Amino acid sequence: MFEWMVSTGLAHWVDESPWAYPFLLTVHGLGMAVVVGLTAMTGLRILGFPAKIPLGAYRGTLPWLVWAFIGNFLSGLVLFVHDAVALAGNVSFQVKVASLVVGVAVLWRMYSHVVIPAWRAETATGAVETEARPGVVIDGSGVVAWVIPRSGKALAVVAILIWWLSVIVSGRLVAYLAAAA
Amino acid sequence: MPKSPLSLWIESTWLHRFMQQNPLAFTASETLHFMGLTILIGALMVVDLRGLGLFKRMPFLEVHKLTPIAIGAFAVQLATGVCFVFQGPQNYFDDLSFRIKMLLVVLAGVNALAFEFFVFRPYKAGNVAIEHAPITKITCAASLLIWAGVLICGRLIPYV
Repeated sequence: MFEWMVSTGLAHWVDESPWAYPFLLTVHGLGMAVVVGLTAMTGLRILGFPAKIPLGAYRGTLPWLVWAFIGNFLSGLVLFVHDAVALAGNVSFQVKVASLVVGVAVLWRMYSHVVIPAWRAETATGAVETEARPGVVIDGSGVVAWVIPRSGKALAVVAILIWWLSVIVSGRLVAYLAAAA
Repeated sequence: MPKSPLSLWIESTWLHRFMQQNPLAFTASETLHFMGLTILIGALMVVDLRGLGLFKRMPFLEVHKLTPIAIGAFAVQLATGVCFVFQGPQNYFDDLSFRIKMLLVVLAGVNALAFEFFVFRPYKAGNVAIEHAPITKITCAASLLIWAGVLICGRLIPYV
């Protein structure tokens, strides 16, 4: 299958057009910066900084993350097709793809179990954000309506570390190990 | 093209020899450069998109607390960037993408100062209406575009 990929018109286009490869790398770089950067900012807020920004407000970053990821995925797919045979056997690349799958799952959970519930609690009728107790939402009668779960902080740390250590580090090494092979 | 005096000086430094003798240092610098880049772009996006009128539930003053993170990330970028240039200075100085990139970085710095002194400080002093002023939209849009340009030029350095 990898041999077939490399023989497709798409792969030839990447080889033959002088601009295709730099263009794809640029899209991949921009997408990476947005996905990892926004994950880091949301993760940082879950960990408590800046405390006075309501956590639920970070829900607004989700569409940017999703679009950037789609751009990254598509550019990455074409880059892969172009060099499928070499990349499929590249250990760094295999580590990168595996961490990518885990990273997406962690990111998904971070939004669905922490950011979006926070947003729902904060925007519920009568809810008040407690400036004195960051990460705690109280309802109109002063009862605690929602608190960042402990697992949320763990998710934030894992999300940042997996993008950084696995995806970026292994992604960088793909180029070097491929050159060495 | 002949080597510039700056290149000749760089080639006489220990950092140049260190970067030449340790190929892994270049790979490590690149990885750190990428990590710094993601944090810089992430922090900037929140600040600038807020300035452009998105993420309205985030208080304007609080979002500004992310700027020291962007500055810290930029410091990492600068330090690792210096390592790249010291490895083979003339390759960079002769490269059009690199020259445009450096110009854009300076422009981004000037733009950030404009935001700080003409938007953030007046806002903090009580002029909250400035949040919706053209200067705010212009500096925030410019910041996003300039940094995207920096990233694109950086990617193109090996190709142009």
